Order: sequence, then structure tokens, then C-alpha cells
Amino acid sequence: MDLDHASPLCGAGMESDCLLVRAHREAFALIEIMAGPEADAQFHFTGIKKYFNSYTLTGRMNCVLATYGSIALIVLYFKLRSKKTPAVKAT
Amino acid sequence: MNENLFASFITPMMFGLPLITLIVLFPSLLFPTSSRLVNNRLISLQQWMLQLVSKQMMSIPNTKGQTWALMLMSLILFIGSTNLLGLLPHSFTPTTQLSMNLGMAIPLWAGAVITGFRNKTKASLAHFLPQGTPTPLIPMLVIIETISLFIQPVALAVRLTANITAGHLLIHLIGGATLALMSINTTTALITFIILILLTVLEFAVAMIQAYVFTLLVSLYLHDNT
Repeated sequence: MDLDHASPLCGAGMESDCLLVRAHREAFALIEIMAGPEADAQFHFTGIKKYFNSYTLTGRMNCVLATYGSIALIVLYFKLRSKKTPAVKAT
Repeated sequence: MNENLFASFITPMMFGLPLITLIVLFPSLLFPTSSRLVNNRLISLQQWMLQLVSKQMMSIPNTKGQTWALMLMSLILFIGSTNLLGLLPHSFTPTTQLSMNLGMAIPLWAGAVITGFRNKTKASLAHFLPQGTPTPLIPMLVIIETISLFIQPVALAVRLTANITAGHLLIHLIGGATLALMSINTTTALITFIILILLTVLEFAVAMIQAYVFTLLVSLYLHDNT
């Protein structure tokens, strides 16, 4: 989108330094940063942080799945443990 | 004053048959359809109002979300008309029943969430973790966000039920107090009557606002998931 001529309030002959156009440009830049997968490219993580972080879409998704997986494993562990422990026999 | 304060919230029956179906279907009679290009005053007014509401409400969702326009407009019309009809004396208001409101809230919320998971699985899952969360807080925040997601339909239903029920109870109590005070002290009864009038005006506003809030929240959930 040609932001220099975007605003109807800026005259045809005005420079691109028009305040209104600059405000539009900054607003669109902010929206771009906040948008989805395209925003991931600005973050450069290495190692495990590349897959588990709270900034990129993939990182956040993996953290969520890891949390759910951990909860499921804990529940499974306690269920299997209670099955293994034999019942106390009456004497 | 009735001996039972909650008598007006019991589902009405006639000869052992529940009237709830008729009561729920009744508001549709107030919105006649027309096949004419130029309609009568009532239909023109309703169409103008509907256009105003749909323009305001459907500006939030994107193109995909706007396919829900018919559903959302029907919802706001139904809840608004039901709430307003309930302000008539001795009438029954279906939206005071939590079962009814849960029956509206849960399918709409679930539809929005399932749409989000089907079309944007990654973004929907990532939504459970706010961007920039410090690492030690991640597990706790994921659990909190999951709970807040599942609380949404319950909050939708309970908000509508509680607001309408509370309003009707207040009208009932203050109306009863006005009647009781008439034989004791006329001036106090007059003041109570003025309060009753103001409360009734408030309840008219609440009836319309609650319909708007319910529909707006559903459209926001839809916007988050499309």
C-alpha cells in the first residue's frame, strides 16, 4: 500500500514527511510486528530457545503442548502408581 | 406480594403441558417478513434498526467471521425481544433460566473455538500463552489461560441470567413495598413508586444492553478465532 498518498488529508504535492502519513506508517508497522507468522522472522533464537520461547508462534505453541503433555504424564504416573500399590488385606 | 418471591421464574404450564416452546417462539411473530420493496412502518423501522446494529457489530469480525452475521443478528433480536417482553407484568422471561442461556452460550462459543482450531491450529494453541511471558511463569499462565477459556461460556450465560433475574426480583420487591407502604405512609409510598419508575426505565436499558453484550462477546470470540 502506498502510504505516502494514503491519507486524503495530505495534499497531492506534499512531501512524504506529512505527519499524518508518518502516523499511518508507524501504526501499520506496529500491526505488522503484532501480526502472526511474518513476525517470527524478526526473532533469532538458537538452541532449545528456537523451539520453546514465549515470543514466536511456534515457540508459544510448543510451550503450551509441553505443558499439557507434562500434566498428562503426571496424571498418568499417579494413576499407574495407585494401580500398582496392592490393596491392604484385612487380618 | 407473592408468598413465593420466585414464583414468576417457574416455567408456566397449562393443563400439564409446558408453554415454554410457545413463549420462546412468540417474539418471532413481532418481526414479520415482507416480500415488498417498500414496506409498512413497522417493518421499515425494524429493518432500519437491524441495519444499524449489523453495521456496528459486524465491523469487528473479518470476512470469514462475517459469515456469522445472520446468526448474530438473530441472536441479538431474540435476546432483546425476549428481555423486553419479560418486562410486561405477569409475563415469563425465558432468559431468566440458566439452562436456556447455557444452551445459547455453549454451542456458539464452542463453534467459534472449533472454527479457530480447525482453520488456525498453531495460532489457536499459541493463544494460550501471552507473548513475552517470563519463562518461570509459562506453565502457570498456560493453565490460567485454559481455565479462562473454559469459563467464557459459563460467564456469558450467568451474566445474562443474573442481570435479568436480579432486575425482575428488584421490581417485584419494590413494587410490593410500594403497595404495602400505601396504607402506612403515602409520602414514603410515593418515593418508592418514583424509585420503581426509575428502576423500570433502568431495566429497559439493561434488557437491551445485555442482548448487545452477549452478541458482542460472541462476535469477539469469533474474531479471535478467525
